[in-house]
Amino acid sequence: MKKIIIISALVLGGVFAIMQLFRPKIQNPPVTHDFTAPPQVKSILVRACYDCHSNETNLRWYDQIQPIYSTVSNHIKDGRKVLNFSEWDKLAKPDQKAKLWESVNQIEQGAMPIASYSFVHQDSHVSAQDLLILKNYLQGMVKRDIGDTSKLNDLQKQYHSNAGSDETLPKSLNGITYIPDYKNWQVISTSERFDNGTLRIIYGNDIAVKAVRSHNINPWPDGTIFAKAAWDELEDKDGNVKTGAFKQVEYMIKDSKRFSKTNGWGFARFKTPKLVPYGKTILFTQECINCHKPMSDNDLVFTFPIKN
Amino acid sequence: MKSHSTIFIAVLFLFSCGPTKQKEELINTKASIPETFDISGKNLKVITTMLNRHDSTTSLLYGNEIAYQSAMQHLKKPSLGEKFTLVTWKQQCDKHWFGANIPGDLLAVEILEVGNNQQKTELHYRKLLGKSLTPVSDTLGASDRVNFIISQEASLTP
Repeated sequence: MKKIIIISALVLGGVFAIMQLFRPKIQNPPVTHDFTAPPQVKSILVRACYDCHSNETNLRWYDQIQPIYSTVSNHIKDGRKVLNFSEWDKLAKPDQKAKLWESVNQIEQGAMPIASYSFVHQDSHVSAQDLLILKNYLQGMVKRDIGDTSKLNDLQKQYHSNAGSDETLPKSLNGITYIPDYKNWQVISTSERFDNGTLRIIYGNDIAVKAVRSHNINPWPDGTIFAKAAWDELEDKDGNVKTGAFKQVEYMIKDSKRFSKTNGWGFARFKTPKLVPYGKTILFTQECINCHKPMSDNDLVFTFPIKN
Repeated sequence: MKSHSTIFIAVLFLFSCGPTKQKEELINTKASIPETFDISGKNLKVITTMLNRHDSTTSLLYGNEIAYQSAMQHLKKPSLGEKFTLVTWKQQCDKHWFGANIPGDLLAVEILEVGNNQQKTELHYRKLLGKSLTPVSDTLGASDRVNFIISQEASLTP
């Protein structure tokens, strides 16, 4: 018995030693344009996010041991692809803002930092106090454009353009065709997004409405379709906010077989009245999944539906 | 003993902070419209959504086909046969997205119907208050509300 234990330990030790020889190289490419923010905000993000979301990865001694090393390496590779604070200038200004809001939401919902990572890297933990600092920072970025004439002009331009009159319906790269009928559907909810100054209506098809009525929404049944339309906010001096220029319509289509690779949901977004499909390659859906991931216990749906 | 109880509390905390979303109430019951009103069954179309920053309220304007077409054409005057339904909620923070406000408590449902009596346009306005949709008999401010509803333009939907 003792012999077996010794042999097993030797074999395991050997495997462990051989594993150390295989190490994908983790490089720190040059920092092209580092993200800037007030020191207390920056220090939280550096501590909690920079190891995987910057070119300034700081590997601890225990990160260097395989198999941890490979896991950490994958985290860094994936992390930099989604968000890289060291190449901040590669994002357009509105995208920078959107990324920050998304990041703080990922933290608030507990999706980031990844649990296995923060378990080992205790210093990456974002406390309630840290979160408050981050949220206050974002709140300070909210700008209200009262009586904004340029937004009014954008709407007028859209009224007078013939965009969208083409008979062929646009199609997104994952094969989802624009569904014009959403305008005849019922409303699942509305939403004011003060992070990006838009008003939204979330429409649901009959299957979605019935699912809400029967509390059958986790998971949502196959055939469910949501259409979320977004417009600019137009605010007057009395605080009345109405819809301005049309920004986009986004769909979520539940079909567990057809969209099995994207957790049963087909995602699509069509922008401006010209209904330009979003995404340069079919991999755009990964972006959708990443953002919706914190809702994995809610079948990836953010909306709290209104029963009506 | 003290360290034991600390560990016990820590373990308890660990489990109590586990995923609780399975039990989370995902339906927005606060904002839900009573089934007896059956807004989904009325075949109404959504005209637009709006909010008031000072009151922290958000509204959704529905209309029948005639009302929808008038709002699309920005007519802003009553036309025979129009039926509008304006639902207003208090806003609440969206627990799923910091940066969003969503409908909270149902405050009111206002209904405007444009009829005629001996070729004279008649406006029938009703207001139902709160979750119980209690009819309001006081008509003070009704004409302002009628003008507000009639003046809304449809959201641009390509």
